[in-house]
Amino acid sequence: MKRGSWLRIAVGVVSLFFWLGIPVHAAEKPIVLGMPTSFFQPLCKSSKLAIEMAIEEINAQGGILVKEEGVKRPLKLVTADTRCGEPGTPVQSALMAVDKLIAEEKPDAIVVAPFRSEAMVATMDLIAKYKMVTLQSIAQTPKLIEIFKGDPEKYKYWFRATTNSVYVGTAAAKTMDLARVLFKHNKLFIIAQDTLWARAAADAAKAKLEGFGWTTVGYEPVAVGTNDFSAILSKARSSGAQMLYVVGDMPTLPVCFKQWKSMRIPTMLFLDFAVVTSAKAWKSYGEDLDYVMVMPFPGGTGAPVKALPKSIEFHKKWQEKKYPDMDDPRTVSSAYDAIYILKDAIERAGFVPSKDPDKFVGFLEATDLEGVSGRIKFDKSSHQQIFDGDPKESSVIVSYQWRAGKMVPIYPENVAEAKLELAPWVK
Amino acid sequence: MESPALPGFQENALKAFAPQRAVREGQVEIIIYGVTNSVSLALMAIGFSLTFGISGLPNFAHGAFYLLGGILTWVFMNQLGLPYLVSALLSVLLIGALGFFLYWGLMLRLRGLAINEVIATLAVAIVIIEVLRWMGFSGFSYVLPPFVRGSLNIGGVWVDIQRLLLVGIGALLVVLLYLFTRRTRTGFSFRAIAQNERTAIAVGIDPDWTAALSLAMGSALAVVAGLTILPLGAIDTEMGYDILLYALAVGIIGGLESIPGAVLGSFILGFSQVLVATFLRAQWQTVVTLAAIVLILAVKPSGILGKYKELEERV
Repeated sequence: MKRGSWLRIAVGVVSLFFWLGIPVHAAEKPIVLGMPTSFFQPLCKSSKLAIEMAIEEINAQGGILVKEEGVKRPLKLVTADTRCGEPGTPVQSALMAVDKLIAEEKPDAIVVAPFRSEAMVATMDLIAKYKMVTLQSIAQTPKLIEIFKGDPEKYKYWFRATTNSVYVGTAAAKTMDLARVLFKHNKLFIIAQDTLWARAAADAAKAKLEGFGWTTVGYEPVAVGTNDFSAILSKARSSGAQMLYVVGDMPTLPVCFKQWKSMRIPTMLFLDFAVVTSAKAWKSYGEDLDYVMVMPFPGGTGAPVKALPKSIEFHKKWQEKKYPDMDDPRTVSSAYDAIYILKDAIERAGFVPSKDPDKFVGFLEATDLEGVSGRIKFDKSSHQQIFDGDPKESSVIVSYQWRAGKMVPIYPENVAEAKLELAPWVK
Repeated sequence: MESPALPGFQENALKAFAPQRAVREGQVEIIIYGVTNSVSLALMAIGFSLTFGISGLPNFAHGAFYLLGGILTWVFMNQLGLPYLVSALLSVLLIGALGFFLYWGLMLRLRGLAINEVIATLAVAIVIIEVLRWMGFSGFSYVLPPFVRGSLNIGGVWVDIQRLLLVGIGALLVVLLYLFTRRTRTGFSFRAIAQNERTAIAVGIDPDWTAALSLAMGSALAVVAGLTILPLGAIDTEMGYDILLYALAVGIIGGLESIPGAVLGSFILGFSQVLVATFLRAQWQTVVTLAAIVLILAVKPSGILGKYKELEERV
């Protein structure tokens, strides 16, 4: 057969596919997702894996159906390192990385976004300038909602597809309050790393718990680098405290919970410390973690929860992929969910976000689908994913207690798999 | 089952003595944790003081060696599957060798140029720490197991066995170093060089060989400190800088070149930190460290048992 004849047949077959409306997967232009974040941070590395997992799943089914184009388009991830999670990196560098990614790669949407809240705050104007639909899933500052509410029309392309620090602080306080409800405990002692964010978290938890009827019997800010907590823990003991709330992210913090156990401090311990919120923590610290309460932010990101079926799927798939255990699981599941939020909105809209971002925003606002942390919906007045106590109505934050190597969900009540238990040396 | 009620007078007696018991336990706690904190600081500083005391070399890579030793041990155990003891010994030997070759490869050319020695060793520290950070050795997953798990009750105060072992190891090291410098040929040559380098050369002691050995021993001691202290928490790259700061603080207080000075300095600093955290606020512990440095530099610049400044002034 002549070469020309082959060409005619090929053109004919492709035309036939078009005429029949059958997607020609390989030829379709991918939907490009930009991920500008700080890859130095374990949380960002794990978020990237979660996104790749979602993309592989979607691409294995041929991609996302874009009705207006009559084709299924695959997803493609492009990344830029903002380095904002590394010490001493100025916000300006992070902004330049985001700007460069948008200008050069021309993504259809952005996911995850800068790690540090300061960098994320500064990125809001870039999002507005480029009308870049963004499903942000790490930075927790409430300031972003303030910015959005300051000019909703300008910042409408921004959505926070995860928790924020207000939700997190409230859930932490409610978890600790279980000890009041169950054991009539009401004396709180706080150890906070002497940094702004940790002091703010401690202040928020203190205010909430005092509102629930707790008395704060001690509040000790500790300098970064403190490597012996014995004196502070002794103070906690002598103050008659029943709940110890420790918050920070410094390298010497494991000394604190190890001493809490070895010194038999007669308090329960709520540890607001990311690295003890995944299965990997037990491999590192073992029984030193027994009875410690922890809270990775969105439900199901740190460990599966029976009441959240998608969380069981998520962790099963993670293991099947043989991905490394997460060092820091906070918001990793949100990155995974963000891809499905986009898929759902694109399928409903019939076009990709970059084609008409103003119109696309409306489809994101109407999101209502099941994710790892429960039902995903956005608050239209803040573009914040809604987190409340019932996974059938909204997403949930879940707290766990470490018991014999397992993270057992203890909060909220309707997803809890066990009640809070006192450590044997606590009365 | 409920415990049987105590007869009235026993219950009253227990109540009456409870505050006294609490005070006594508080005092025991200050003593025990003051000692363990002090010995931790001594372990961090002793290798630095040994090297500086003998060869006059300020090894600013001391903290980086402490960190590298811990990470190597973790890698040997978890990646190569070697037993803990073998991994620990290998790390001590490797870092000791690294210190030895650091002298021949770099420090030999800089001898006598104090600022250059500081810059060179600090550069080595930064390279080691930042390469480890780049390789991903941060994130709190790198934990060494304690030698023995569990806690003991001493006078009503619970203490983990690892901390008690730490005190034992610290004391043993000081005794061994004392015996080494007073009972062995190499120890004599160390002391000779430390006392008067020119006279030592005149009697046939090789100053470079002695300095290289002192750097090797100081580096190995940094690893021993790491292996003893790191099981109390986790390994993180930031520690490389923190350990150097503590070693310097202890050295400045006690006398940079003096091992007894390092021990004395660590006890002053260790107890100050515990007392400040107990009676004032924990966040001022760092202030105590820095204030002690400033105070000692103003009052006795050589440190409590140091002689360098006095010798310079006499000359």
